[in-house]
This record gives sequence, C-alpha cells and structure tokens, in this order.
Amino acid sequence: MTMGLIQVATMVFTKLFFDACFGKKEPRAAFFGAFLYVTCPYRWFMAYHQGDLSMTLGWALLPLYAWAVLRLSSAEKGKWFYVLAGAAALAGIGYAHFVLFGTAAAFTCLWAICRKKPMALFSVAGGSVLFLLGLHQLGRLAFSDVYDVWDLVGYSIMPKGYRLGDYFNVYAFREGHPGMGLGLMIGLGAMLWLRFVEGRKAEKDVLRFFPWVAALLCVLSFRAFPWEWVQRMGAPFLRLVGAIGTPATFWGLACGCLCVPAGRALGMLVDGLDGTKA
Amino acid sequence: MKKKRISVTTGIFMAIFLVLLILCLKPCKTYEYEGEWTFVPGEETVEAVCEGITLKPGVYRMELEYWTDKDLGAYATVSDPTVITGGLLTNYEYFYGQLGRTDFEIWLFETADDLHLEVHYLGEGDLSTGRLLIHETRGLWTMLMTIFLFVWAAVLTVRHLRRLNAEGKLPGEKRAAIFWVAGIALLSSIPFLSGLSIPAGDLVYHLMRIEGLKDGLLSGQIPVRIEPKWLYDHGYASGVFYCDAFLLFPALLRMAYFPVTMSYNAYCILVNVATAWISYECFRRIFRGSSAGVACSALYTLSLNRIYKMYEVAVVGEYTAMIFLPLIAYGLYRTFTEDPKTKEYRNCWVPFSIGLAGILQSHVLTCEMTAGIILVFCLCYVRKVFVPETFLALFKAASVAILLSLWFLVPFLDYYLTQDVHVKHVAGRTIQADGLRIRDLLASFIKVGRNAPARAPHFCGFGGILVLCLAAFLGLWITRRFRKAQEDDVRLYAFGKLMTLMGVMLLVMSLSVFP
Repeated sequence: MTMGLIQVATMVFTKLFFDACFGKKEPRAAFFGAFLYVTCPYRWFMAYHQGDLSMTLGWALLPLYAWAVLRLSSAEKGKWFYVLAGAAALAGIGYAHFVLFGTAAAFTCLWAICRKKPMALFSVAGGSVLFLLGLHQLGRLAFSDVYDVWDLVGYSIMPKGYRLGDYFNVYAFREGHPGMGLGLMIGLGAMLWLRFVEGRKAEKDVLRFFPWVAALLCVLSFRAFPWEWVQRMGAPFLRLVGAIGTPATFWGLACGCLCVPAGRALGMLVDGLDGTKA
Repeated sequence: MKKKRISVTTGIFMAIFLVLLILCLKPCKTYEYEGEWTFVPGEETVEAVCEGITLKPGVYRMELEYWTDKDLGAYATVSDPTVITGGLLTNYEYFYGQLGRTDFEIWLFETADDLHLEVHYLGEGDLSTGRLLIHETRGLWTMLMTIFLFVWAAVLTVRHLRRLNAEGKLPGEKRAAIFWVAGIALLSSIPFLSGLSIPAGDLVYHLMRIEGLKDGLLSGQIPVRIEPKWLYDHGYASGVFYCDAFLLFPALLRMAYFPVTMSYNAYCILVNVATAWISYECFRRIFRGSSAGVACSALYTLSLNRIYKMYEVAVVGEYTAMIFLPLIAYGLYRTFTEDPKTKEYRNCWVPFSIGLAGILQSHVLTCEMTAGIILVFCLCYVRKVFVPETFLALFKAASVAILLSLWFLVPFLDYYLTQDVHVKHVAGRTIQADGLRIRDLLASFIKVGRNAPARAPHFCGFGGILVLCLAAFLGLWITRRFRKAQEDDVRLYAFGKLMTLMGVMLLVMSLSVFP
C-alpha cells in the first residue's frame, strides 16, 4: 500500500517537473521524460528487487524538489512558496536517503552559483534546517564511534562500482548493477543523433546542466573512481563513504538526470517524424 | 582563441606523453624475500610461504625457487585479502621437476599491504621452496602509455571529423552513417566492455595462441611459426595450421603487459568495429545507398550466428573471417555485374583479393567454403567468366590473395603434405547429426546460458528476422513486385536473385536432413 502510494506520488511529481521543464510547447518531450524517469531500471530495482522504501521515497521527492528549484529560477511572483516547497522536499529527501540529499544540495548550489540564481540557495538552506536532526545523526556517524559497533561502515565501496559495459545493461541486475535500460539507451541515441548528425544544440540552461551533472555522477559510479583514496583521508571520510554503500546510487541519479535531455530528444524526433514541428 | 585552445591541449598531451615515456624507461627493481618451506609428502596442504609483502601498484614477475621430483604436483598463486576484487589479477603456475623456478606475472591495481605467495601442494612427491624474487616491470606504465595513445588517437580523429564538418566536407548522410555504424559496433561489443570474460568453448585455446604469439615475438621469431612455451617449453607449431596474422594486435597488447583476457576483449571489440564498417561500405556500394548499407551492416554484424560464434563458442578464426565475407560479396558483385569495358572495372579485383587473403589468413575452413561458393558463382556466370577482362580480374584476385598469403601457405602445405598430422585421420567424421533441425530455422538461442565447444550440436538457430526477410523477398519475387527494380538495374536484380538462391541452398545444406 505504502509502496503503491509512493509510486503514484512519483508519477504526479514527475509530471509536475517535466511539464515545468518543457512547458506547454513540448508536451511530447514532457511525456517521454516522465516516462523514462518512472520506468528507470535503477528505480525499479530499488523499489521491487531491493524493496528499499526510503530510496524509492527519495526518488519520488526528487522531481518535486527539482520542480520547486526550476520554478524558483523562472517565476516572477510567489518565489517564497517555491523556496518553502523546495526546502520541504529536500528535507524529505534527506530523511529518506542522505546520499540523495547531499547530491541534490550540492548540485543545487552549483546551479545557483553558475546560473546566478541565489534564491535556490535559500531552498538548500531551508531544507538543511528542516533536516537538522538527520544532519546531527550524520555528524555522529562521521565524527564519533557510536555506530562502529554495528559494523555497518568502514569497508571499501570500490568493488561495487560499475564497469563500462554495465552501464549498457537493460534490466540485468548483475551484482546490483542495473543498467540504463532500453528506453534511456534509445533516448541517449536520439540525443546524440540530434547533436552530432543534425547539429542541433540545447537552447535551455536546464538541458545543458543535466547532462553535465549526469556525466559527473557517472564518473563517481565508475569502478575505477578512487573512493579508497577518499576513505584513507581520515575516519570521518571512511565512515561517510562506507555509509554510501555502493557507487551504484550515483549511476541511478545519473539516469534520472539523463531523462531530461533524453526525453527532449525523443520528443523532438517524434515531432519531426509526424511533421508537427518544422 | 580556438587555435590557442588546441595548442594548450596539444601541449598537455605532449607533457603527459613525455612523463609516461620517462616512467617507461625507469630502471626496475628486484625485491628478495625468504620463502623456505619443506612440504610433507602424503599431506595435501596450502602454505603461505611468503607473507606480509607490501607492493605499490604495478606489474610484477614472481620468481619462486623450488625443488621437486614431481611434475604438476603443486602450484603457486598470489592473494591479498586487503586488495579489492579485481585489484589483483594473477594466474597460478604449476611446478615442474626440471624447471626449478616459477615465472608468472601479477597485476596490482592498488597498493597491496599483505600480499601472500601461497603454494598449493597436492600431496605427491617431494617439494621444498626457496627464496622469492619479485621483479618490478614497466608493465603499469606501458599499459597507461598504450591507453593514452589510443585516447590521443581518438581525440585527433574527433578533431579531424569536426574540422571536416566545419568545412562542409562531412555531409549529413556520412555523419548519419558514422552514427549508425558506431552504434552497431558498440551494441555488438557491450559484453566485452564489462571487464569479464565469458567462458566460451574454445576461449582457452585462443588465449594460449595469443600468449604463444607474444612469446614467439619476444624470442625473436618474425613471423612466429612455433609457440615456444607450449608443451612444457618444448614448443608447438599451432600457427602453421591456424594462421595467427590477425592475433598480432592482442599479442602486441600482451607485450605491453595487458592481461591476456583484456587483450582478447580489445581484439574482439576491434573485430566488431571492422565488421560493422567494412560490411557497411560494401553493401552501400552494392546498393548505392547509405540506408541499405546501414541496414545490411546491422543485419550482418548483429546476426545470430556471428554473435553465437563470438560469445558462446569463441571461434576466433571464424568471426575474424566474417570481417572479410562482405568484401567477397562486393567483389563478386563488381566482377559479374559491371561492364568489363569501363575504366573502373580494372580495379574490381582489389576488394576480392583483400577479402580472399583475409579469409585465408583467418580460417582455412571458411576459405574452403568461400572458394566453393565462388566456384558456384562462376558456373552460374560461366559465359562471363570467359570474357577476357573478367577472367583476368578473377585471376588477379586469386593470385594476389595467394601471394599475400604465401608466408602462411608454404609451411602449411609443407607440413600437411610431408608430416603425419592428426587432421589426416579425421576424414571419416560425419557432420550430418550436427545440422539444424527444421524447427531451429525460426529459433534464436536454443540452449540459453551454456557455452558450446566447436563440435557440439547446434546451440543457435537461424533467427526469425532473417527467415521473415527471406520469405518477404521470395514473396515479392514470385508475385513480380520487383518489376521497377528490375528495370532500374537489371544486373543488381539478377545478382540479388542468385544470392538469394545461394543463401537458400546453403541454408538447406546446414539442415540435418541434408544427406
């Protein structure tokens, strides 16, 4: 029942975000983007194979948070509503899964600085305040040995990273490594086709931002990424990185980010095929 | 601004290249450890004769002294519980009475804090071990240098393509073709990008060929005729009957200290790229259209049989020969459909001869079958064969192919004709039982999840898509829907009909009901 509600919420928030992203001018892009996000192999793996309720909830709240930040950047009125909505969503993400919180907060700060949208930082700040209890526990995890007795952290996460071929898996769950899936593979192919064959470049900021974020997250999920060097920097890093559990989380987020440009590309191709657009 | 950016990039690449070059020329150290241990006969045991070894990332050669009176009575391997999975790659090496020391390599991709050298003693014969010498090699830097050079070549290629595009010399059709062919090659290579090796039927033999070629090159043989370390270092002439020409690439990677499985995977990726591109070019020229070229390249590169040969059986010779089969088709097309009086006809034998030489130096059996098919074509076009220009083209193709392959053919024929080799005693082997059943024509993979040795009953069908395409073609032909195509290009239409008949004939010959 709870999982069902979370899935419904995911669909609603996903539609909200992609409609805000592409507007009424590109309904097909919004549809494809939402479709790719909802059917993302990593999300399904977490929800149905692992039964990870908290990660699934985090994935449901991410589009809501992204919607709030996007609206914040473009709206002329009611900015504080979006700040509060974003802060609540971010806090919810934090209580669901701290890695999602950290990633969302970090990239929001990056977006705010690069695009000169300081209002987004208020969302992050608000979310962090609401997530204070969680941050306190994270602090205890990192800087004290209170959690050491559970033997949950302190091991290397590098062996769980992705090899190059793992990214192209469909729904294969080899070693907990779901790939990008057929939909996203076709979407990425469409993206590359538009960029390199037809020579079209992304006009909107958001369409340039998400692929770069996805590329960075992909690097973090790679097997060769030196998480061990990070862990050797000290006990707090050892515990925090160990608590991440697996770099596969970053690949899942990368897939989520890639749904935006991939959905746009598919929408443009379909529009071009039936002649609705020039 | 753009020129400045290119200069900075070139400068960075040059700097990295120089640093790697210096590291590749750095002198190597040798570390000595005590490893004395005496094993008690009759007791199967595993002992860590050396422990607590600390090593930086790199490729090392392990030399453990030992004394034994029994061959294959024990083996040595290396492990480290502090290293992550995949951070330490090693084989094990058996002990032999006459050798006295091990000589195997280990690849360390992270710092090892507690490396053990373990000896697995199987309980028979006397065995005692002595000191351990760990020889540093330049392997890590040569691997990095090789990867760097490939990356640099890729960057230069992309830069060149972008320049061509900016100058308007790369039309949309060409860009689309590059996109599709790259996609086809990537799709067919995904399993090789996973850093693992699928345990296919003949894989170990071909890995041994790569190792043997590497050892032969390092011992100074060019070309390599005898694999020097096979059969307990007595040597074996595997390359005389199974040409190693195209395995030079993975052997060179082995010489750059890449692990043999990584070298093999890289070779397979290269084969997929070559197959996709060559088949695209050949079919594009036959059908005079990029779309047809892409479609045929996809059907050919991703065909069930080729994927099966590559992944389930690992018959390196066969799937290497498949790179060149489209060249044979293209050569036949040009030779028998073009006007012999034109200037372009003079070079129609070139793709034909490259294809024949490539197949001959990949897989002799495929060459036999290809020769049979070419003979059938010649019989069908018998009147054309005796046109002087056509006969000359066929003669040139065959003779240049043979000349290019003489280095392999002469020793092959010498051994076959003068030596009593095993292959001469298997003529009585029957193949009918290994044929496809009629129901397999529409099947894909018949036994999923199992590897297949070369002489097993078929594990792979013909595939529904090809059967449907064939049925569609036959249907259109019988109902005379090809009238327009026939008017546009009579020769291509006739060639297409003949190819279809050949395909159906070969399909029937592959069935177990064929006598």
